[in-house]
Amino acid sequence: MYTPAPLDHFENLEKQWHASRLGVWVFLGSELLLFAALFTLYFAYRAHYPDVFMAGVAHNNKILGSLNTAILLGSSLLVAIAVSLAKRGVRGLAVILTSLTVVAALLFLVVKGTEYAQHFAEGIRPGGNGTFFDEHPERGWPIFFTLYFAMTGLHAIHVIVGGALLSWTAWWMVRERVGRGGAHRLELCALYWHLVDVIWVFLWPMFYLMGGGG
Amino acid sequence: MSEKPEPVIPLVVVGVVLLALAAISFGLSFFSLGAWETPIALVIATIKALGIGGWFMELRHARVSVRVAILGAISLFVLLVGLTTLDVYTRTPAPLNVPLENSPRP
Repeated sequence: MYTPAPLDHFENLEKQWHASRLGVWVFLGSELLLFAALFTLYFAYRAHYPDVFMAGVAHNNKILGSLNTAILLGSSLLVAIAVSLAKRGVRGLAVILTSLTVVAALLFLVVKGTEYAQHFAEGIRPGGNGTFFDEHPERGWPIFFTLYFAMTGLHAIHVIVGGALLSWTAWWMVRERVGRGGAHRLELCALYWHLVDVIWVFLWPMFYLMGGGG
Repeated sequence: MSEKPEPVIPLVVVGVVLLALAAISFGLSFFSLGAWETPIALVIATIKALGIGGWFMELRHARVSVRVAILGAISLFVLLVGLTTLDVYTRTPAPLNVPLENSPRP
């Protein structure tokens, strides 16, 4: 059975856990600022090419984008309940819910991959490459789709990292027969997963919904 | 964010509310809301983010140091996105025109 012990430079576990939580939050803040640059580009170019951006949003597959939103929101709920159960010492169910979150991450990537495949088939590739842009020579189209691939691609990388972290934590909880004391590690991974969800909550309307009713 | 476990029922309620808000956003996207489209979509997204942050990430119970860390990042995010977008909307001639119109398509 895993029993957490404070490191030498901490007076007790409570202080150590607070320090680690604060560290993760500072990291999440830096992640937010990483995405801030791309969000800024999106809104600046949307202000400059409003018609093309609305047409681009209407062109994207709203059903697949919305399916991914439901998957991520559901997975956030699952891992939040898993943390709550882990803090109560209910290891088995916490591991099952964490594993289901990993399955949700994989589903998200499958849906995203399907969407990318559809775009490639239409001749839409990052950087304004592909036959689609010969038929749509307006300046805003390559910018819209390059931002689409950059932002959703960077987000997908975060989904992969979050899924890997949660898989490893679920395995660790089983292997070390982690009890209440190990919930903290799952909580930190869950925080990262929730940030992935929060970012998608904004990407979804930006790339799938704000298309002028299209 | 504490060692005390968050009760499960409120988490489920928040999860259902988040999915309901997503359904509302999805439904509204089929209507032409004109200039209101972007603000409405972003306000609903912000409410969802607050739900995730407040309950799932337990920010309601967070210590001051954690709140300062994340509020600082959010403030910088809003400043960067807001001021840059405002610049593009309000400056004449539009700042993005100059280099882009004279360069070949990538």
